[in-house]
Amino acid sequence: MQPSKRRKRSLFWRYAPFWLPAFVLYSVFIVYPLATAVGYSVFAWDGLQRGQFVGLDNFVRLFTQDPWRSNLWRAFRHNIMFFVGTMLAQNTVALFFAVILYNLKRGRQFWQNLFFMPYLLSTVLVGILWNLILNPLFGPLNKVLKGLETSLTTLLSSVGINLTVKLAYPWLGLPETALGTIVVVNAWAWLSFPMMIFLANLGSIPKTYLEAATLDGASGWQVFRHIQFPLLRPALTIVTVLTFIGNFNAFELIFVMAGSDGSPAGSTDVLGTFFYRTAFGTGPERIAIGSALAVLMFGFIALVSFVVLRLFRQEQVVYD
Amino acid sequence: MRIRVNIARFALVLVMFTSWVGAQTLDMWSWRTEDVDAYEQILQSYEGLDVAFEAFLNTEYNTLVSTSLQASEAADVVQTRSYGGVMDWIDGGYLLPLEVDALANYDSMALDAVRSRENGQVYGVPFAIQVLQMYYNKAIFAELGLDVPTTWDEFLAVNQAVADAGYIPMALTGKDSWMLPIFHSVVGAGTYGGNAFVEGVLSGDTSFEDEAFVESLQAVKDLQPFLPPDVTAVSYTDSQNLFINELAAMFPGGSWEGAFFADQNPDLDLGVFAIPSKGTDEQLVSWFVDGAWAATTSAEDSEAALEFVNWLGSPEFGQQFTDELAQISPIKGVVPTDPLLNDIVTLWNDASTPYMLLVHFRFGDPSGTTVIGENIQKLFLDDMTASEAASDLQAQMATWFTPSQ
Repeated sequence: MQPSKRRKRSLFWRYAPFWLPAFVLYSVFIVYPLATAVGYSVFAWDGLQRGQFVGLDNFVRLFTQDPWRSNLWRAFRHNIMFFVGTMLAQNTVALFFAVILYNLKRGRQFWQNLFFMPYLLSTVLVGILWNLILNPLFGPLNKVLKGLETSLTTLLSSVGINLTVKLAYPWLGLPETALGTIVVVNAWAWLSFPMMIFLANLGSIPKTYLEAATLDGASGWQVFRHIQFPLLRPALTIVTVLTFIGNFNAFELIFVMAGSDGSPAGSTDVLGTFFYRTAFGTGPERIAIGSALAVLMFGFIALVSFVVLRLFRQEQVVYD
Repeated sequence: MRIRVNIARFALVLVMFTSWVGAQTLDMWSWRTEDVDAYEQILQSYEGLDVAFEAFLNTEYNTLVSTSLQASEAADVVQTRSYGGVMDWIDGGYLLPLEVDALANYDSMALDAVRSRENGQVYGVPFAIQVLQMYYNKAIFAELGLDVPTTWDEFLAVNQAVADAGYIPMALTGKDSWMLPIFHSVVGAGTYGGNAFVEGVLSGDTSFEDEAFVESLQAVKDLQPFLPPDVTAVSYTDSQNLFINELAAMFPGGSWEGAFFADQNPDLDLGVFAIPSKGTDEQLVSWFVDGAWAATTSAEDSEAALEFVNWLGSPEFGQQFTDELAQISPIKGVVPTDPLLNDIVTLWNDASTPYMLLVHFRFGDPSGTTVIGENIQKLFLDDMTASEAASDLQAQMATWFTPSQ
């Protein structure tokens, strides 16, 4: 054995006290359950009894057999809507606020803290809080909206337009509004996180670029569009990937606000709630199909995140 | 040196003593953490071995017991869920089949909750049943001069009168879909024909597409004007609050609600009745077994465990159970001391039918209760008709349910 190799090996073990605890914890709580789920997903199950090895059969049935097939596509569609909605309602607004805060001369810290507050609340608490606000019988939101309805209708009729304005809806009770409402609540709770990333990224852009552009006569919008925005790509990438991972794993908020069935009438059912119903439901094959679904979700999220990170990294913008 | 020897002797005696004590007690596991004191009180009257009662968090109980059963380390006697919820343990061979005298204290339909669908043997003694009916606020009924209805038309008239007086007639959630099959059973069990229909569906003589079943779903839709506005946005707790705060006159629900209502508003004057069914005027309540006690294959002394389970199925235990915990015991001859529970038991004895979708259609994925819950939401939202809701239920159940014929 060469001395350098031996030296490397001895260093490896000498540093064991530093990496071993993390390695053990990660293996026991992340790698082992993940491997178990993969193992479970390739066997037939009857209740708690493991049957024979079936290869990819559970996955095939997940895609081809009802009720799983129809639930899977419905949930997947809702996850995409959740993701697109969040990108629009959360990340665009976060970017907007970040730019405003960045340009703010005074009180930036105050606004930053204010925006950050909902982030400190647990998801369950956020869900319960908004359930109360949105409550169709006693909730304050619809009370305010109903007041607005009356005043707007009166206002319109006073200028000769006879139109009944309707603003108050049972937000979580209609299939058309329920998912959108949850997207907005989710954005409210998480807004500050992408905002902070954007702010940090904006702060790291050398002021000389901005000054040079301004001297050349660029307007505020042009500075943002041609200097800041392209240089925000690292932040945009990480925010997009994290939003994607968060949204495709979404469960708690929907569970609290719409239940495990994705009420009303399955209009808020996502992969997380579908998994919960399958894995902890009544079917004798819940371990088989539940594990297959969990593995599928993990694989899909990992793959997309990997591809997006690679693509964005290749297109990194650098001004030298 | 001597001290060391003495310590060793003491340790040996201690080990012998604990193992002797261990052999002389029975372990009993439950998910009712709120009932520990009551059980310890009740268990004192058992004359066999001492019993150690231990309760675990409800939501983690099933996982804990399943794992322990697989490792043969579960308690001698465990509390089990019922129907589809206990089949894993029965089919896995983790529970001891019962041939004890106590089984004679039960109606055969109650024992179905813990009966193997493979060999027909019974694996536990049911401890409680829940009955589904209509609660009503006696004060509001008196104020409006209303009587308990005995025909469907009278029932509709009562609802109309309550609505005209500015109250919400019935407090119901449409958002928490698990309550909707309960509402359907309270309203429609008599319309679809109770036990006769259940037998027909199980044997394959009829199906959920039967006219009477469609009519039972239509009856649910007919009542929508008497439910809270925007019902699909109203949560279960909202519906409870409406009734507790006397904003609603009636509450369709299970026998577990009564104690909570009385606790939240002691002034509430509660009564119960069975809805006279649309089409038949039959007054039928639905019911199901909540859970059971079972001896496990983990038990070292299975005879002692079975003897104890036999006692848990006796009227002596049942009477103490209902007195201490204000729940309904399915054991024959047990009479609740609580007047409201007694009224419910009277309804149950008069005319009852099992809560069909829970009792018979929770053995596969999707469960009957899940499907009908979502379909009734669609019915309320005008996204489905009663006959579409019934056909969809039939199609979805057919994916895993085969009639016995």
